[in-house]
Amino acid sequence: MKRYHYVMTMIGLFFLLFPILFKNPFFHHVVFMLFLYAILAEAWNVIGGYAGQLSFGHALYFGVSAYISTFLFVRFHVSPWIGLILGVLAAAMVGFLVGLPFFRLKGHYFAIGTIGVTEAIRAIIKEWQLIGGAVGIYIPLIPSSFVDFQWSSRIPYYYIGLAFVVSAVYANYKVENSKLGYYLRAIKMNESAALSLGINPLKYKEIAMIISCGFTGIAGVLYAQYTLYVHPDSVMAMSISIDMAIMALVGGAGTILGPIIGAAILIPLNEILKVYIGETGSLHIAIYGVIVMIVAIFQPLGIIVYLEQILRKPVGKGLKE
Amino acid sequence: MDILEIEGLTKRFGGLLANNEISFCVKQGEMLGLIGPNGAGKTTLFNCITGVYRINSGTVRFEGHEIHGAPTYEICHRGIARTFQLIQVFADMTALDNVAVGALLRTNDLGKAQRKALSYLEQLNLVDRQRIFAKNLTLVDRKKLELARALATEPKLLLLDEVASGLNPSEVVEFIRVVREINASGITIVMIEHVMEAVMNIAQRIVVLDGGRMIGEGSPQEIVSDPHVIEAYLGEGYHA
Repeated sequence: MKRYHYVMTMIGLFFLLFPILFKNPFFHHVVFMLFLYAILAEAWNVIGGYAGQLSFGHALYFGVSAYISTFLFVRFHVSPWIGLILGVLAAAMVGFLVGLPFFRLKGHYFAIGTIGVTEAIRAIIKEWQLIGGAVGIYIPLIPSSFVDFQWSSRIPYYYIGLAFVVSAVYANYKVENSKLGYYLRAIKMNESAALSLGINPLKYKEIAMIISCGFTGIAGVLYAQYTLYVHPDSVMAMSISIDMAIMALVGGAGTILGPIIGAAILIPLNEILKVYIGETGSLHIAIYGVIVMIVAIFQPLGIIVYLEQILRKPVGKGLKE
Repeated sequence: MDILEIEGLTKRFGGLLANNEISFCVKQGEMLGLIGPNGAGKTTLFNCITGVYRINSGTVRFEGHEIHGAPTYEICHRGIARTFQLIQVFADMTALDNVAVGALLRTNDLGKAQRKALSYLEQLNLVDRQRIFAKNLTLVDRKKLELARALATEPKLLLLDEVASGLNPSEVVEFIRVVREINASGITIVMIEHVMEAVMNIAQRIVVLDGGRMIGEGSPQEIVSDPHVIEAYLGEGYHA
């Protein structure tokens, strides 16, 4: 355990000092994107990892909060910080509502249902002129201001992102080490046994969904304020849903740090390939595919298993005799 | 006092009458055996009592309250726990965590639940297996684990679905001892059992099902001399 804590402290220090050590703004951008997806993968992990409900429609909650904060800021000049709170609440609410019918579905049917509802809402938003339709909404460039959540430098975004990554990891830690986490794993492994032990699956899936969608909403607002532009194909893209799920699964779904490891492998790869091959290319998707296949074949539990072996952290839990 | 009252319980699957007008009571603190040939409707009856199946007609009362129609998890909250004929442990959890999930029904404190789980593992002689994943346990240990997990929900009534099947004779003897202990601690037990020596030894009263109907009820001595039961299930020449 000593070694584990030591490594964690070093990693934390590294990211805290990163903008000071490296001045290249491209590096700041890559690490910011890493943070953004780390939040998303950790968020997805609560429902997809611990509860085993494979949602492939989480872009909906990302988009809902991005749209809410952006719309409120551009139309009514509401501070995006307030937009963040409202967006997160709305994302959690939408997640709850989606869960009501879809959590009654099992396995593939649940996955397909989540894709369907997200794609349907994206199609509606494309036609909804009040919020910009297919064009989307631009956030005007204004002087740096904390209240307006806008800076000319990338560094404030970097540290805000880092703070939310830490909070998302903490949330996963709390879930794993609580009644909720135990109940979610029980539901994932055997729902009828869970029922016979007094567990109401719908209730606990919904709690997990609210946490998951709330954190997804945080990332949505962060992304909107970082790119200053929301449109249906950016903030509700299917690729967001898929990427966050793949990162969690590749890194190790249902573990505290697995999803971050997935993001740490796939995001730098993605951003660097974009620079060298161009945004329109889809080589990064092909490379994604190869990585996913390798992990699925050699370590279906995720890359974290190897890291845990290195750090000698026990995988299972038990009390001392 | 009757802890469980079943009246005219009927469960139909399409044209098949799995449970046909079944009525009997279970007394507080009793150990009741439920026997009958395969397909008699014994497990279906458990599923009806625990709300896994919705019954077509009749009533199920637990401690005087009607519970049919209530969801399974609520019935467990009221104090009915069960084990399964086909073992349903949480395969990728340690033995300790399996039982802790059961214990979490009555507490929100994880540490407390784990300590309680440990005491149930102790009761079933599984303490040295606590860190082993359930999928890696032997059949008898998984059966014990399921029993420990059900006990951890602090039930008033425990439904055991063939706990002794697939065990060797010395394991059966151990299970009989454990089940007696549980009953002695004040928990009412209804057990489905094919191992006749187990059920005849420990049940105070026996209910016999055949083809979805109840064909006999009484003490083990009455049951073994009941001609209907002998014809349907025990076979000629059975001696307790």
